[in-house]
Amino acid sequence: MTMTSLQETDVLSSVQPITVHVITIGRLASEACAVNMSPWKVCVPGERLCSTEVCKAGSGTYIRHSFIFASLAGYVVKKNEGEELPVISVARETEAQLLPDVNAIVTCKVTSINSRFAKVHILYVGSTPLKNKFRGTIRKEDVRATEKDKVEIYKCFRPGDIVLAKVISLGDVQSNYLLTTAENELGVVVAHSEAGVQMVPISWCEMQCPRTHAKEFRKVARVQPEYLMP
Amino acid sequence: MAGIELLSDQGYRVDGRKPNELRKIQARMGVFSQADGSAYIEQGNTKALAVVYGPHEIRGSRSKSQHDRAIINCQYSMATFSTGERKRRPHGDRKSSEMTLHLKQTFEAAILTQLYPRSQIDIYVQILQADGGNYSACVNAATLAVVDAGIPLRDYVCACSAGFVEDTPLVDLSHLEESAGGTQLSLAVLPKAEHLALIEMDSRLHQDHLESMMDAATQACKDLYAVLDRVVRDHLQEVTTSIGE
Amino acid sequence: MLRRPQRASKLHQRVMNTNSLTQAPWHQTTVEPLEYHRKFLKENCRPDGRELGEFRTTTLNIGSITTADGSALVKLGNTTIICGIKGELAAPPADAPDKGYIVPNVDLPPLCSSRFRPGPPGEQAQAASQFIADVIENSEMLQREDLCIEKGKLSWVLYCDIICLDYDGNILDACIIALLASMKNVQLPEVHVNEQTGLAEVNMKKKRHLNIVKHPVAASFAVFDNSILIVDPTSDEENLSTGFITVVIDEEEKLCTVHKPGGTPLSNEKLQDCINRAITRNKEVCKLLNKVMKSMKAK
Repeated sequence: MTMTSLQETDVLSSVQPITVHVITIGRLASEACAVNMSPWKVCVPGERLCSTEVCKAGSGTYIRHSFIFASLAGYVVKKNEGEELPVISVARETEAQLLPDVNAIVTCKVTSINSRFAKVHILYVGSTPLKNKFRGTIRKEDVRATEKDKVEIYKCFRPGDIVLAKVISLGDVQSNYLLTTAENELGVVVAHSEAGVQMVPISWCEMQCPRTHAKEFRKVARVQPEYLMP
Repeated sequence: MAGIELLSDQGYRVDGRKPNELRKIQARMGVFSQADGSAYIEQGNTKALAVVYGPHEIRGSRSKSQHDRAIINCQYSMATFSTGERKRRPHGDRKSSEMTLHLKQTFEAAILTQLYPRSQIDIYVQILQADGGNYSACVNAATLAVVDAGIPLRDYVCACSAGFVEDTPLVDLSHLEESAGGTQLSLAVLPKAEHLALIEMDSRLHQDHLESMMDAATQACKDLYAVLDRVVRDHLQEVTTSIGE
Repeated sequence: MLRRPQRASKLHQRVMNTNSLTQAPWHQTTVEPLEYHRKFLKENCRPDGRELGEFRTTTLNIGSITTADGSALVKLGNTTIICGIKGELAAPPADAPDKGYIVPNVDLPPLCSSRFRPGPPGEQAQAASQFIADVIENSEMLQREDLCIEKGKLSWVLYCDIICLDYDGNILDACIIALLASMKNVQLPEVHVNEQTGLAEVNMKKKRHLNIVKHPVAASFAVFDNSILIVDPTSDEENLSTGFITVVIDEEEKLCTVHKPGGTPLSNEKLQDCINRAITRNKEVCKLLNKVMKSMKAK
């Protein structure tokens, strides 16, 4: 435990800057190697980067009066696509908050089910974790591609399951994000049996508990083996 | 007029500043772990904190949601020990509600809300010690917090207060100068584009003097911008070196 | 057993390395937080590298708010609490004409964490305020008679406003430390009641400190999985724990308050462990407080 005696009257002078996740800086560095890039330049919001004739606007920028301005504080990244104009964007160390967008693959956790739909909390968008949970709904008719009306939610999802789904709608005033699992690669990835043990998938609609050998119904995702969590 | 001389014969103010001189500014970004973005600023003796959460799902009444943009939710509150006399209601009283609304309107102009449809951005500002220029300190702190949170901004928002004494515009008023009566102008600008985000003025002023006051305030905002810019760049350097390249 | 903290980094490294799941630590914290914590607890350490009986780094800054009569800022890891004390004059209560008032108030504003919504103080804030009031009363850290200026006519009211700026668990401990530090920092001016006019005359030039006789310090524990006791829980650990207990001890090793709001039942030995750890914590905090006060006087 540090015993600090503080000299300045600055109230928060003992604070360190927040440590940032190491995962994302790796991404930035690899991007630098893979892509033809100019040396990193710092920019702040409102700084004019270049005109629209020289580059195209990427993420973290906006256009006004045919000039491209930065809208984030970070590093300017210029990517040469090849035939078209290079894309200029601003990258930050921490991933800026992503919102789930239409056709994005999301990882969510089932919170409650009833006969018509399952309510979920969206945890990841792609591979980026979300800091705040967003709520989503998987309707009965969006669970499978075939035999949509004969679906029983109880036999597809249970509360606590981790599900891979795709966003079909951002929803409106009344509802949350609408999701679908009507593809082979979408569905339950991790589920616990009634005994509390993580189950092993045995077919597209069944999972088995390794301890009690009881089989339970789920709509299972066909996931490549290396992506499955052990 | 009060017995205190706000401007001496040599042109110095009560605290020894020149009429167009800002108070000492110290600012820090990324001070809190729970929030998406946070900042702390000290302008002279006024200490303000700003914290940003978002963009996240709309809480409370869903009916406020906009299909094409994010809504901005602000709250301005003063700590009960921030003023000379203990403040009984930290927020919810008329003055705080007015400040809250001003903050909301200012940031709606600056944040690119179209990028986050159907979500909410929360900006909470807390004044720990009030010594004049409360609104300006809040806006400056909130700008730094929004930049820290990685929410896209059109430009920084810099704010400053100004007054007028004996034909000279004074900038960055302290509590003593504010309570002595006389004209007060609060100005929030987007410095690069030189767009005005918010102007508020009370008390009577001859229209000839308005221009000189606005010019003085705008120049002060530009000086403030230079300071805030330095803070943001230093923070970026710090964050990068602490990760290591 | 809660031992004195040693360097837990080696154990922590071992857990991080052997655990293939921790290749993607984000997965674990969001998807299966309980399992993630359990893996560390098996090795007697915690995800942030601390031992079970180790408190987070405590930093203290006194007297930064000049508009308040006394103030202190405490950081316990990421949890940040600021306390400001203002004194006002009022008539003493009818049933105790020789005593003053001490009014604590804990505020958990929405800026400290996304779990709090704007609006009137919630349950947690009100319960914390009551807890602090109980501690002040039970520990007798300040004699209320000291706050009386003239019996039956005038006394001081000390408003202690505690604001949480960053919520990362264990606010009760931090609030008590902030309160104690700001009480020691309070300087009240001399007040005389004028005989003829009956009005109070305040002499701002002469100021004196409060007479703090006892120094209560709190230590909070969380119970995990009905058996493991961890000290100073962070916000994640609080959400996953099955019970809480807070023990307040003063410097004479006397118990001021024991607060156990329901939750898993505890055995006597575990309670004794908690009390022992709280005693050592009191010594640590008093040492820190004295060091900071000394450095302030030196200025």
